[in-house]
Amino acid sequence: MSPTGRATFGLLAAVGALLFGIPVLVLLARAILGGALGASLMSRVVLDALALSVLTSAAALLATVVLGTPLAYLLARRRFRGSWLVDTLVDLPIVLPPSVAGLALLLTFGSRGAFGPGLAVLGVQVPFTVWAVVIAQTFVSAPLFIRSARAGFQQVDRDLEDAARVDGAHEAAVFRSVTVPLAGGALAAGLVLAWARALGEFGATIMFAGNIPGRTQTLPVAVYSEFQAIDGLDRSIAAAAVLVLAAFGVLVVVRWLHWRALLALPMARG
Amino acid sequence: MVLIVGLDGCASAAATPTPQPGGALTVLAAASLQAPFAELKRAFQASHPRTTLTLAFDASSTLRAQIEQGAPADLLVSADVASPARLASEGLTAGPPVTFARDTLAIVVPAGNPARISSPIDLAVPNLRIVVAAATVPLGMYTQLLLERLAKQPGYPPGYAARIVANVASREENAATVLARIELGEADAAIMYASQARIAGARLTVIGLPAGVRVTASYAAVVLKASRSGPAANDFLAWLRTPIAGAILARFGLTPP
Repeated sequence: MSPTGRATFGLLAAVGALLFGIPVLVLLARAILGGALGASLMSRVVLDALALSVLTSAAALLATVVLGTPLAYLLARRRFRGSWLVDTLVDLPIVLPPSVAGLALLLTFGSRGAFGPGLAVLGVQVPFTVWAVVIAQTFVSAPLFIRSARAGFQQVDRDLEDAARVDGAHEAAVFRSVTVPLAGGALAAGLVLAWARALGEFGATIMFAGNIPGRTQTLPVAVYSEFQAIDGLDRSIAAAAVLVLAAFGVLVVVRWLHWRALLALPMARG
Repeated sequence: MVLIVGLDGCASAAATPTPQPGGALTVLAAASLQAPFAELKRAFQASHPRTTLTLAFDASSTLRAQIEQGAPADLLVSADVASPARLASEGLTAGPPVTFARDTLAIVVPAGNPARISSPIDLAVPNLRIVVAAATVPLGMYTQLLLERLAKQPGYPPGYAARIVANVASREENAATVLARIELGEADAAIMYASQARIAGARLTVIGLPAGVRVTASYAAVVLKASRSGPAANDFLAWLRTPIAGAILARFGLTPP
């Protein structure tokens, strides 16, 4: 590359880094210097939203592990008729606009939806409740875990599983003591990313669960809602700053997991 | 706990003939009502200690759609009469809608008036940035009506409404985001409810409308069929028409029906 070419390349890279970095830094600076992180963070609206976000994203994560692990394992290990279709369907929410996910969930579980009337007979109300928040979060975030877990299960050395079987281990024991630990880094990274996606869920939540303080108003929804409120900008900024810090923390953890996996791999193989 | 409340209820029933109904009410209200309803909530809960109100705000049409899809709320407080009427026709209401306040439309500019707008005619000057509400929400429909009425005024240029449409920088999804945009200095002018402009105070300046041009918005509330606290919801609805509520509404620039 010529010196001019290299300079242009470096300049574009610098502009790119600034473009991605500056808005977030401005937000954090405004939150800290403007005092929003102090007083507004302790406001009822922000605390309620924070508590709801922690609770619902934890529930979404639990649903993701329970439903996603078997699915990821089967997709990694078995080829069955139509497995490519299941593979694609599982990945779909990652690329779908969240508003589309919200509408689809509403058409499925809404009171005028495909299953809404049936659920109503059972006395179960899903849309615009905390359950809708959890479903929306699981719908958009589980695919991130499943993708990562599928890749993790695929990389597990089958000979090690066979060795355990030869030693007389049951399938459940092989899965628990050999497969899961060997895929552990990928599973953990997938979980952390899925949690971050669930925590940040906005579009599907506001369409499917609405925006009721203390009930369905999660942190990202509070950012949007308080921005519109009279004198709510500081509370909006405080809620946003919490999300930035959580997202940053998630990326640090994922990085650490990757490093640990890279360092641990030769030892595991050796 | 339940027993104590029960005994308490009996005791007060003996003293007063009609015990106050109670319950946890979810009120879905028009985005423009945030400030007055925060105050109404305080006043109502003070005089009705057995009822707690949870308020959620958005465009009335958005709230109407949420109710149609099964949102578990007790009341809709709409910035138009069409949304409650629509819900009534769909069998989703319990009782008739009650109009409890009126508002008018206002053209506002940010403090300092950077585009030097002194009359609604000036909104047609090319390259202004005007913020209005989306045509699907009540404020957007009222805005359309206002522009049509202004266009018919003597001295207004041909194609006035079309020129303003060309100047529209953003169509916001509810009245609150219209206010937020202009307060952040993102526009030269905005069209919103007069009550919102009044609450914003010195941060905005209202541009006078020609005599006789006036668009009135009606706020109507209705108890929803999904409500599980019907008596308390009806109580709140009736309370909205009391002089106490009327005085609070008046302080925020809302007039009686």
